[in-house]
Amino acid sequence: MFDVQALLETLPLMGKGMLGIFVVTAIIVLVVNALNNIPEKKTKKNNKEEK
Amino acid sequence: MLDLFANFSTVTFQQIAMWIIGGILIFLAIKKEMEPSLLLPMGFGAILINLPNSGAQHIIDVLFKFGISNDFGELMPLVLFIGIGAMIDFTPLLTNPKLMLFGAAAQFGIFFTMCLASFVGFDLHDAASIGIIGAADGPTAIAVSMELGSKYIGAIMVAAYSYMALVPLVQPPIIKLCTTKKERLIRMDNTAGKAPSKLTKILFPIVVTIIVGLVAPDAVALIGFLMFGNLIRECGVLNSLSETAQKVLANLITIFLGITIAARMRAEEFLTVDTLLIIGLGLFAFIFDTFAGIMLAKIMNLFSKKKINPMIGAAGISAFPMSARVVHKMGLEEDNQNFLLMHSIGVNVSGQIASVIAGGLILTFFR
Repeated sequence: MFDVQALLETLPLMGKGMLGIFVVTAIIVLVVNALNNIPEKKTKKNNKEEK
Repeated sequence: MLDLFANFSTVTFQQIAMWIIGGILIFLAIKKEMEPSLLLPMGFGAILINLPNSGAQHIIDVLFKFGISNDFGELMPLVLFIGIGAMIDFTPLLTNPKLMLFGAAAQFGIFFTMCLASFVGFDLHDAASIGIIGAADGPTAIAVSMELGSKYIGAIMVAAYSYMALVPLVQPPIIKLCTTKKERLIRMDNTAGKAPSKLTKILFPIVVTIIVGLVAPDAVALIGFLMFGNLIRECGVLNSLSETAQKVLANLITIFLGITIAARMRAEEFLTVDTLLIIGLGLFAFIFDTFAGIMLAKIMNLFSKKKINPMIGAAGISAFPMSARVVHKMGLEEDNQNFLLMHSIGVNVSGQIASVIAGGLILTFFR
């Protein structure tokens, strides 16, 4: 009933899958960090408040 | 007169068993309020489809063909994703983007369960479809298992939605088993990170779609529809559409989705040893998702000065927002001044994105 061969075939896919998720996630994290560093454009309303 | 009762003689024990299963799903939906919007239509659909010579079979098959099958691009789960995207506020995640790593780790259960399923004898496509129960996300599970042509979609859906509803029962013992009391007492800074700008919120869904689409093209429909819904929410000029997507659209699709899944709950397909195996494997998927999220937090704590409460790693399972609430509640039980909700919600929404990426990668591997 237990298929050791099938298990051995799927283990590399598990590694590839987890690696893929972490790589994509790391890229998204870097991009979000970059987006968070875009300076906010001051609106007229904000400028008035500052004055 | 006897003609009126002719249909009685065609009732089988298997059909009666399916009525009971349908009744249990309806009971869990109403009495225990477990994912009622899905379990109730599925339960009723299971009864409807398993009446002898049921006149509902044709219409449910038509709904399945046009709404779920890949002949028409898994229409219902994908459209539902627009509603889900419109419901999600990514602010906690954008405030602290590294939380996304926990969402990634908590997809381990998907791949581990895929390995287990192939070990116990399921073919590779079915094993991957069973593994996707660990995505803890109905539309992703439906879309992936349909794309892979799994014949077990009924059992996979019952397992996925049941365990999503059972998150408050499944996760706490695993979290307690994997963490020490000292770790559960770790307080996290709720003031960390500046609030994301409107521009960041608008660019985020576009950028994520492009990145995921380039890596896993098969996931474009899933991630694209989710992020489209979120863009409608965040753009600030489509409030009426956003509300419609969150409420009317999501509700309408949900009504039909549950009853349509019943098309794959016919007694002869559903009452098999395989179904029991799938339900067992689904539990493994949820357990190992939780375990992996917690373990990543523990590993990060080895290298980080600012300690992370490892419980938030468990929220990386995509079941939104139950998992975040479970972690927050457990934090308060340990220390009534320990507020983990902001962090756990951030991890939870990252799990939503990561589960779609996992689904896309599975499709890329197997198609």
